Amino acid sequence: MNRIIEADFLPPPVEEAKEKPRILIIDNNRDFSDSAKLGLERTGRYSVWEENEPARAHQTAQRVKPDLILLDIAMPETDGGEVAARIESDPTLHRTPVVFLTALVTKAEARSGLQIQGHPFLAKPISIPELVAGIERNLPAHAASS
Amino acid sequence: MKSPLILLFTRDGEFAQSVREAVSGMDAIVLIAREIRDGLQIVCQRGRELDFALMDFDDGCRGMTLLSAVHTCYERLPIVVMASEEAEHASFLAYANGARTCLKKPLSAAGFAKAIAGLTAPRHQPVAA
Repeated sequence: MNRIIEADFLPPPVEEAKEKPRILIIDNNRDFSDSAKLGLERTGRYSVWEENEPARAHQTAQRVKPDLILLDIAMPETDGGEVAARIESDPTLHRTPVVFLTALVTKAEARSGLQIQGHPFLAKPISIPELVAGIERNLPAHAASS
Repeated sequence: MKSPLILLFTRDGEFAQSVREAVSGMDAIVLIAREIRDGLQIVCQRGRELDFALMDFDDGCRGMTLLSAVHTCYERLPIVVMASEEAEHASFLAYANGARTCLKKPLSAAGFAKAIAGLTAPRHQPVAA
């Protein structure tokens, strides 16, 4: 006889140490951000936060003070371009690297060095190693020390 | 003999039912993760106990990051990906990111049972002296 167990009983993940680079994922797709957060944290290299409400993204970025922001472009109501513009206009965040995530480009286009709104971008679908590579390319201080 | 422990990532009730039918008779324990977050936590905390994870690859876009995250959490966990017939690129992405097997939907319960038998059999067969 089979036993079916619904998995909804696990505690939330604990927060990571402060010295690791802080990555903020802004994506309305929680499946993606949950997967990316956990995958990135399991590498042991980053502390990762996620925000699934684009309207709250700027506020969350102010609170988290990330070293890098992964920002989905295609989101309802407030798209990634608007979020990036708000971050750029914020004196406390305007130096924070923003890397766009989008399913609207190919991986070849993402590797070409082209930019969207002055920011680099990564193509979805994306694996954890590809995300790590994209983060390291845009975290020069941390990349140099690793 | 230990019951096979299977982690199923799905919000699709029909798919969950077909999995139940496929594993009936195996005395399997099926952990159903309706939230990706819960499933990932199980992989991280109980990955060694799992016989395999089964995930619906959806359109290949969300699934690839999930698959990669699961593989990052516990590399040795066999992962079975279910992908729709139209998603031709899904198999390539699945295998490239650590899937052990990629099955096309729709798949009959019998076909599914046959496909997963190979994943659970070695662990439950007696070891020759």
